[in-house]
Amino acid sequence: MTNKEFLERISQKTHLEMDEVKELSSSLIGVVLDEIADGNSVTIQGFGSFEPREKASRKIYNPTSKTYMVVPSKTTLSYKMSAALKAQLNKE
Amino acid sequence: MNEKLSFQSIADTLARKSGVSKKVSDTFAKAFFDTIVEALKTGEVVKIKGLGTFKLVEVGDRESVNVSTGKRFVIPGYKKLAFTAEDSVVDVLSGRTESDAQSYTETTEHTEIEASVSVSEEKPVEIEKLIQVPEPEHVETPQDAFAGIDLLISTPESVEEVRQQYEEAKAKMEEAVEEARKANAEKLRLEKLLERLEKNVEPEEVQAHTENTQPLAQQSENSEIDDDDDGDITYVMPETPTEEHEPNDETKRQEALHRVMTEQPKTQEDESQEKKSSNKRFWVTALVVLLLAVLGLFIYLIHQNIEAVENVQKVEQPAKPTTPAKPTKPAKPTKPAAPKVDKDSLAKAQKADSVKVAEEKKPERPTTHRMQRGESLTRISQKYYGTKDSVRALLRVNTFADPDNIPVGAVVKLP
Repeated sequence: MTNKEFLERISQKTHLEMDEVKELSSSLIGVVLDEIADGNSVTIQGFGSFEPREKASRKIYNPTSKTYMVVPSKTTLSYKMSAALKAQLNKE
Repeated sequence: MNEKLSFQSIADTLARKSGVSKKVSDTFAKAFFDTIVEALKTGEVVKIKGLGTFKLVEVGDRESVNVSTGKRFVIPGYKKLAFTAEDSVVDVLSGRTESDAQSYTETTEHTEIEASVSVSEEKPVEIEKLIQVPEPEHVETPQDAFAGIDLLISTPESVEEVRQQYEEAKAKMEEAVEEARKANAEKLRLEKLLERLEKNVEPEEVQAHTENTQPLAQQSENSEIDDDDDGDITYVMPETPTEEHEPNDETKRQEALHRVMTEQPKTQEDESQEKKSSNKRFWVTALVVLLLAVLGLFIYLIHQNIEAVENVQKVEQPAKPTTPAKPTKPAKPTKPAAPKVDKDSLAKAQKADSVKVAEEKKPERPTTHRMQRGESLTRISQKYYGTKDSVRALLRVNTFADPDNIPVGAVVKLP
């Protein structure tokens, strides 16, 4: 499902205009990411939790050029599904 | 820092930031996550711009051992929701902009000694690697030839293509060499003829002789050049396996032949004897040209024949499955028409029916599978049997040099 289809479905559900839905979804993502960037974790009941995860820098070896490369450390967004959602998805 | 935020606080901040009522932001946020879950339930992959991708991944059954009792038990499989953050999210969270990321790779490229090659440096390495691949296959060709190899070679398929082209070019080159040999023999014969003619000429016409010999030298030069061209082909062809060069050389040679044909009558116009011999020469060259044309026609016809045979085979293949189905059809109507028929015939009819059923079932699942790029045995197992556990069954039926790395195009039997 693409972003557009996704937003259309939300628009049908909430009876909001597409423009509004677009704006709200981008600001919702913005709010969540702001909190994550501050080092907080965000838990949405019945869906799961988002939290920042630090990935340490590591060395990798390229066998063809025979050189070592450094992959820089970074912070990614990790997601863990909630137990309720897992139960729901595995019901069938 | 390290706070745990709930759905409610997120909805509140959303209401504050976007200036909508708390009720709207609440319902919106709920709809947002509900929609994701709904889409996932229908098996869709949900891609949200600015956040990432949600995807349902199936985890198969697996066996484990209870540590305290030593008993084996099965952990049942389940579905899990995998999330991959978008690259932009990672950049934002890692506190770097796109330009930051770029400057990083650049600096590491030049300063760090023991490391860090950026993406841009990896590409030439790949090309080098790929160029190395064909080397062992083309041992017969001179090393210099590889200097000219087109850098278009970027995938194994194209390597194969080039190899095919090379094969074709080689065949053509051999043909050309044979033709050149014929032409050479022709040239030698003509020279002998000329020598004989020179001997016949009276000593008084010395001047005429010199006139004759000069064009002769020219002619032999021509044919020499011709030979050189052919010699070049053997080196040029592997370098540039395009078919355009070949016809050029052929036309060149034919031109040279024509020149030979046209020049000679001019030089020996005075002598009537030589006219006969030049006539002979003309006929011989005409024969050679004719032979070439016939050869070309032959090859063309053979090609057409092969295609026709292939077409016939294609037509026959779909026709086959229908033939075994026929005998079962007359078997059916006998049942209601003649209820007194012995049990044997009934059993036969049933057998035929079951055979028919078996035949109908088979085409639903093909018996073989051709490996495609990026496919693994696990994926095939998942595709045809719906579970990853059939990999062992596949390995039992098939033998691979390396089951983890099956070449593209290999045929896998499906038990």
